[in-house]
Amino acid sequence: MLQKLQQWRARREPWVEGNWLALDIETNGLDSRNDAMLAIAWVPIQPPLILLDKAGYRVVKSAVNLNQSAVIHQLSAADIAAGLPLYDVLREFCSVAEGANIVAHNAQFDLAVLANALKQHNATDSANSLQWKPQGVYCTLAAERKRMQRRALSVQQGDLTLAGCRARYGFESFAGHQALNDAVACAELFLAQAYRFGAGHQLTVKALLNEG
Amino acid sequence: MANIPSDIQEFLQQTPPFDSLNSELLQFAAEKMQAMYVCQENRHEIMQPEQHRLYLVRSGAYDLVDKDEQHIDRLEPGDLFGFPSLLTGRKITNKLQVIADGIIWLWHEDTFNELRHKSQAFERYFVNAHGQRLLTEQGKQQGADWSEKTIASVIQRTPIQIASTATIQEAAQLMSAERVSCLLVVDERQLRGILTDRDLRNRVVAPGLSFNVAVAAVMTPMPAVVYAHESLFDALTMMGQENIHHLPVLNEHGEPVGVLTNTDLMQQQRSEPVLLINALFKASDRQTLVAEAAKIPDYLRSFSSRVKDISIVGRLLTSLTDGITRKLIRLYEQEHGSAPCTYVWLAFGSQARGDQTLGSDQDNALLLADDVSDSQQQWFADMATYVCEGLADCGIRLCPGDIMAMNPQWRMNRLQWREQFLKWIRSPTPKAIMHSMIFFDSRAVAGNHQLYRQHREEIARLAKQDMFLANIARHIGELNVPLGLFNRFRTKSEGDFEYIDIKKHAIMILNDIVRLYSLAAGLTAPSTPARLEQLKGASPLSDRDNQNLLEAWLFLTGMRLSAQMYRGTDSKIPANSVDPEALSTMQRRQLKAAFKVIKEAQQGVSFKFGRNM
Repeated sequence: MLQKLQQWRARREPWVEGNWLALDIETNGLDSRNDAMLAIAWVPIQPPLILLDKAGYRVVKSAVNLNQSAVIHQLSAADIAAGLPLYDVLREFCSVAEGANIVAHNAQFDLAVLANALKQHNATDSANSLQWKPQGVYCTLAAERKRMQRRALSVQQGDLTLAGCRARYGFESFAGHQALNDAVACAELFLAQAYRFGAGHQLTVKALLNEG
Repeated sequence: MANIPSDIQEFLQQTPPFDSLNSELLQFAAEKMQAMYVCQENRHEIMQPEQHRLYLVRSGAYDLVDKDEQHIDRLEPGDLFGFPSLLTGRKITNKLQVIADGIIWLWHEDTFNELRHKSQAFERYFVNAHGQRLLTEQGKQQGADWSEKTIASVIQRTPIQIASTATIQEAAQLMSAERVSCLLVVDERQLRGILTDRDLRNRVVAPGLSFNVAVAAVMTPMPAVVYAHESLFDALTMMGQENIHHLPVLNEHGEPVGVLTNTDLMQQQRSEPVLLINALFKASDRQTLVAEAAKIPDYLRSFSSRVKDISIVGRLLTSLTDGITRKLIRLYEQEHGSAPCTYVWLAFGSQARGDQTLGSDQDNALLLADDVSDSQQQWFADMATYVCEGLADCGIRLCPGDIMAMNPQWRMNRLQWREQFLKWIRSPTPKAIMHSMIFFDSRAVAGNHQLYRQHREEIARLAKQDMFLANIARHIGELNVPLGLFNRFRTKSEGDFEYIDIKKHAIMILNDIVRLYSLAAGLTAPSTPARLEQLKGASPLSDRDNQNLLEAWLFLTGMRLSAQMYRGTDSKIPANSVDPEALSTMQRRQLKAAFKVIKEAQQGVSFKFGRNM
């Protein structure tokens, strides 16, 4: 009940005072239910700042098949062998992301992978079970789609990739498909979208979350 | 490394002064930074009065304005700001206007201070930038090359000396005992002359002079000298220009400390300039000379890639052109007898100033003795045609404006030259000013130096004329430095290409400015750095502006030369031009700094000389 109240209050705050965390996860495939989390990157956002000095990037030690994504993500078998145990990574993330509104490009996917990893961990190691839920979720892709629909712009193929969205806000191209680059790129896009959406009026966290 | 996005690391690595940090400090800088999204809506949140931060523009575009909203600078990706208040601790009063939203990176004061503390290069960059001395910043250090070694580092033994009152026999005995081929003639620690094996042969034995005559009678008095602190290249240029094999080396008090020989230079690694100069001098006929000269462009390209200070390439090329000119004159004399009267082969423009490039054309003329006869005139006409055409065959193209000794208009005696200069000085129409300026940069390449000195000093006296100087100042004031509003580059565009002609819009204006000051001071030196050196202390040009102009000149001539050296044959950008987009961040900042120096000097000139209009 108390938690609910806090959440209600937090959602009525101006968006610039909200607790935002940009997230990007690398997997060995595109199937969020079956593919393993290889690496996770996060960067806290305190509008208008992106706290790069508090960013994190962790590779998970796993014995998975890298499939094709190893090529895409430039993660080698050696990188993965040198990674941290899944539990350590999840525990750190849950503490960093406590009470945070998650920002991600195609957030559904990242959250599903994350939920899956948590479930998997909790099933095998119930003594150390981890409980985490995002305070709220903002998807930069969904927000961009809405914005374009509102303007009656046709959504062409590729227009909604992270790079495609960023280009519309005048951002430089970036070396995509590395989780930390993607998380920072997504954080920048989030701020650009939010400042435009909120221009001229008092935007609350709730209103912004409804947008993305 | 784990927590730093590779994008950020790469951008920092390419941005001065972060590019000078070692990997440990670069990582530290990357770990400690934050990013800020800056737009119209939140621009007041950046640069709070007490928030001292170092800012680096990652994307977007902004204008830095002062508290009265006066524009200071346009900020674009790669630009730094905020450091003046970090360095001085003063309150921040400047503000930011947003042209295009974007990301600005920032570092807190303690991170900035730690980086400064741990990296001298980082510290120096900001101190220089704050003092607007960015042009002294060397980009990344390249390997030292041999020609920049000091002369002091290669001379091996103290010079063998003799007094000018000693006899020739004593001198010969000393040379034989010390096994040297030359002696310095020194009285009271001051160099009087030099005596070589060759002098003994040509001036003593051949004419049958008594061995009891004093050395003073046969030595070469007042020889060319170099200073111990100068570079080997200076020695090389001197040897090339004077065609001599022994150079006395003096210390800063003018006392002889050694002799540098051709062999000393040859023993240095990578001494191709010496070899090339020697090959040119040894050429026994025109055909061999032309064949040797054909190697110059390739040679210069490889040479320029090895030297740190590319401006020496200009000096080397000038040195080679001088050598070729003298060689051609000598070859002509071998076939047609010596010059029938006193003369001077004059070089104008870039050859005179010593900043020639591969594209430079010929600008030369002849100064003849006052009593030159018609038949003597004909000898010079034929010689000039031979030399100018020879130079053209050697790659120094004929002057499109026909300012060449082969044009009878530019073969005059001293009185005629005086009349010509007086015409320019007394009726300084804009057109006359424009066309006559290169004639005020002159140098004697061959012939009688005494005659040249008389002529040059006379011209220097005549040119110190207020009306003339004021008209030059007006001419300079009308030239456009390619720096527009808010310190943005003004480029020319041609199709998809944007470029700036740095010769026409920067170097020439700078040379014009320095020439004006040196005309006003009655100086006779032609090269821009030499003029600036002589203008130090006693000139309406402040020493600080003087230094700024020198640095801008060195930077621009270097940039122009490298643009030329590495310009592909299919380049769509005209010669002497650069595309600002293709420059590194540091080069762009330096180019702007150089333009700013010229623009300010241009305004200074109008103020100082224009009042007499």
